[in-house]
Amino acid sequence: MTEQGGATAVAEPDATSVPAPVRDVPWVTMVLNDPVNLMSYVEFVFREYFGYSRAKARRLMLEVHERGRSRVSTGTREQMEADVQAMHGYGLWAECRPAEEGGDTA
Amino acid sequence: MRILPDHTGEHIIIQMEHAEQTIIATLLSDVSQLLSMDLPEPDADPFERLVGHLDPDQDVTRPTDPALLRLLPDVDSTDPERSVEYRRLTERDLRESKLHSIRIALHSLGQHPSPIALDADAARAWMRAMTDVRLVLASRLDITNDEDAERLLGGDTELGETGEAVLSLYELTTWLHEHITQFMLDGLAPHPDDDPDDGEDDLLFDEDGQFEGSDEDDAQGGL
Repeated sequence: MTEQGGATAVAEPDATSVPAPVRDVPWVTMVLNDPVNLMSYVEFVFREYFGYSRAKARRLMLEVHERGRSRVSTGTREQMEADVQAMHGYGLWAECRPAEEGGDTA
Repeated sequence: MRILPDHTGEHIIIQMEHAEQTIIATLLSDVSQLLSMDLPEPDADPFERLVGHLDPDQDVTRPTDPALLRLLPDVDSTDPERSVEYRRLTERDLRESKLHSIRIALHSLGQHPSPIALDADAARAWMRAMTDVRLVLASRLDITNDEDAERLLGGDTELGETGEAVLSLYELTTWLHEHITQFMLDGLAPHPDDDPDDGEDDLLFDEDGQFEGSDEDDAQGGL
């Protein structure tokens, strides 16, 4: 992972761009498919926890089911780690990491 | 086991035979024990219990039991270092929250004879506790993907006697979980974007009204 900004690094005048501090990069929470949790339950979790509409919750749930994973929320690292913690509390399989460049978000 | 109607919609009412109550209680206790492993004893220093996980020297190891690992997953399977750090800071709270749901469910079973009436708060705890029970049972049945689940639930199996017993527990808890989930779905406040004509039980129709699959698929299959 990249280092925090500031500190001791000094860029050469013709250096390539310095990587952005981790803090400034948006993070995403992904829910992963698992063979145990039923579609109705996953939809419920997305509606109750995230407050998504029935249609959005179903779309994300079907994405998990059909593609193996879905990006269900995006935000700061702290927010995403809280969302993952909540997903784990519901028994869903979920991870979070920095959003990939050019990747679509929920 | 049966779900009895509650016309007010405020409770889900579960009628269980005594043997079924015993079985569910045993499953809940087993998962509770699994989640309590390696936690400090109740009479340990309360301050230590609270802040012990902040001690950088204290080790929280990744569970080796696949069932426990499924209940307490890595935060990022591509970053082991970050996963260890995240686990050190959060695993205890996650274990405690799961144990809390199990305690509520056990309390329902212990306090009341059948039928048991659960309000939304109790039902929410049951929903979470039954999810963890199902995850552990599925792990013991070696269900690792959707095909495994469909095969077992479709009866295409060569399990021994113990395996068959575990499978029927998995089916029972799945049935119960599904009914509790439906009760909770019915209790959700409508969202401004929800289409009032889109029925709750049409889970298998997409937004354009295209039919996705039968109710049988939804009831049996995993996600």
